[in-house]
Amino acid sequence: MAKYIVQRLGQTLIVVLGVTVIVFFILRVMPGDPVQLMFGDGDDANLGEARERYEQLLGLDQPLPVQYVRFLGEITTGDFGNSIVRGGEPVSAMIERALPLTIELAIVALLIALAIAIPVAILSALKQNTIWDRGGTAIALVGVSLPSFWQGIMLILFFAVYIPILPVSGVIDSSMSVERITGMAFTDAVLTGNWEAARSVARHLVLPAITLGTAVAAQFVRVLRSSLLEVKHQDFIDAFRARGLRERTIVRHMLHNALPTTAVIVGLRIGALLSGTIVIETVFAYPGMGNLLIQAINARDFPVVQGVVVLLTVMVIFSNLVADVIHGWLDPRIKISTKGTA
Amino acid sequence: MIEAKTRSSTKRRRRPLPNAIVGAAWATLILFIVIGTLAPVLAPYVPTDQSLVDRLQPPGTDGYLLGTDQLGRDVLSRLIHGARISLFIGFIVMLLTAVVGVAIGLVSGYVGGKVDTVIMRIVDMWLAFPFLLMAIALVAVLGRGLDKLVFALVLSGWPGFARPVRGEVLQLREREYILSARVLGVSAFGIMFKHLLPNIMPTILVLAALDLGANILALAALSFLGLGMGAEVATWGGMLAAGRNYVSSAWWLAALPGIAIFLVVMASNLIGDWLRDRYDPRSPFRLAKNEAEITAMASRTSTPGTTDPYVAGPTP
Repeated sequence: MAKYIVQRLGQTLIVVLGVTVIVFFILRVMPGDPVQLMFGDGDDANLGEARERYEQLLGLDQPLPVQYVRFLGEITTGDFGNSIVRGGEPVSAMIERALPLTIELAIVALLIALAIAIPVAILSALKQNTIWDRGGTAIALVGVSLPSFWQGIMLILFFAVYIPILPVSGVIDSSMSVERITGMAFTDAVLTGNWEAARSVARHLVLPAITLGTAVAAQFVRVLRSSLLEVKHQDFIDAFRARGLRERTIVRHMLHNALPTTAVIVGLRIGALLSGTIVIETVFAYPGMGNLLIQAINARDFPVVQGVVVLLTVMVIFSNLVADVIHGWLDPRIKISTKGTA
Repeated sequence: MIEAKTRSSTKRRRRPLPNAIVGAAWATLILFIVIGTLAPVLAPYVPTDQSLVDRLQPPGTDGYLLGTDQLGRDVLSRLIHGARISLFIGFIVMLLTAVVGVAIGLVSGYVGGKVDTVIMRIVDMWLAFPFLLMAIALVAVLGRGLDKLVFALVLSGWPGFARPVRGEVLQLREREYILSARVLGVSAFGIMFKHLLPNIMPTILVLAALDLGANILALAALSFLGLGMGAEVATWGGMLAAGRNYVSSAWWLAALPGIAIFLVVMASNLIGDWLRDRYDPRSPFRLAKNEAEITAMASRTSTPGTTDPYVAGPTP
């Protein structure tokens, strides 16, 4: 197992390195002139000498490979530079505020997604081709085709406008505050025993988390159902049935065999979940990574854009790695196959 | 025993979609294509014409079938023009992504060796980015506008074609008809485009249909985030974004564009499913159902190392 993890970790690091090359290429090389990009089209004429200063500041006067190595050095030490808009605040500080909020939102959304998807997929697969199955697959198809941001706005319409019971933006009521420990608002409120604040944060989380959770749940149902069906029609299930095992026991064996695939599917979907947060956070004005990214793009604050893009992508890559490791742990066949190749 | 046999052979396959639903999906897509094509003729108003006296009129108001927006622009006309933009970009991006992705996949799979290894490493790295995140980053750098949007979406999406196509090619290239073509001296180019391409067409069609839906969703998301075409162009995503601010007083502004997006995306997803049922009852692509969904839809990430990471589906 250790060998498998090391091998996968090696592969992952290569991918991460490649990703930094792509980001470097997209954000630093492709625009042609990052300085002009920062200042917009109209201002470059009277930038004059200041332009050289900015080029030096950004290291643009160096050859590309030197720039890349420098870029790599900066991001591996967690130094993403300073914002060029918000009074030069370090990007890492901005990310430190935004990232925990996004993680908390993503975790709650993931739990909601699993709570919906697992029962629905099991029901669909066990009762294949019945009304349950058709209902489940139809709802899942609708779910994957719905724009999540539209779903979010409709939830606002129903639960904040028609029946005004839930807040529509932010993390917590403006009159309250939470002492910062982890940066995750709900967790911090619970840790400090500030129940009033915890309640407020939870209420603010409901709509974004449900929006994101149901969107991902629909994708889960589709893939989970087919992986359960794969297992359902394998010979060992027939063998169990022939031996007269109870249906409940058979279902347990089925689920156990579908578990590794589920872990991988969940891991693969972390990317969708995180890019979902970009859009959903904008809908609900939730001050996480997505909101930070969009604001930075609109303000042409490129060091921030770069930091957010690199960090989100690396998070996706590592969650895929974790999913693979869990897969290998749950499914012994994987380990055997790596032994063969190593 | 007989029962067990029939069960595993018939039930294993997915029940095909009912014809009525497939018909409805095609009808919806064709309807939107017609609406988009004839937009200037069909739209009762110019989509950018403002009439501040008539602002925020609800649907059904005299002269405004679907109401007006915050600047008194006709929502129906804007939806119709939005269909034009959405479908135009959706199809253009789908075609270009398919051409680029298929070409790269063909070369990678057929030439093999070092070329294949290098291309697939790049694909791996590309797929590590969430599709939408890469598109956002590209648009952020390139700026707003139709050509840049198309470029950003194609550049983010090509591995979604390249990887499955390469997987198919790997399975086909040792077949006898390909080997005999090679023995007969057919050029590599000829083999790839005359002999391999037609045989992977079903896969490409399925991917293309799913890609169309994914593109329209991504386009809507980008416009919603204000990274699309600029505020003056009527796009569904842009209408939704503006409608969000008026959700308490004018529900139709946000509700209607969302329904339009949903209908088109749903139709292309259904057509993708139908194509798969129709052309791929039990081809190697059978299991790639998941892969295709995963790659063609939002995330486009990879799990290298599970089996052969590049083949479209676990091969029997």
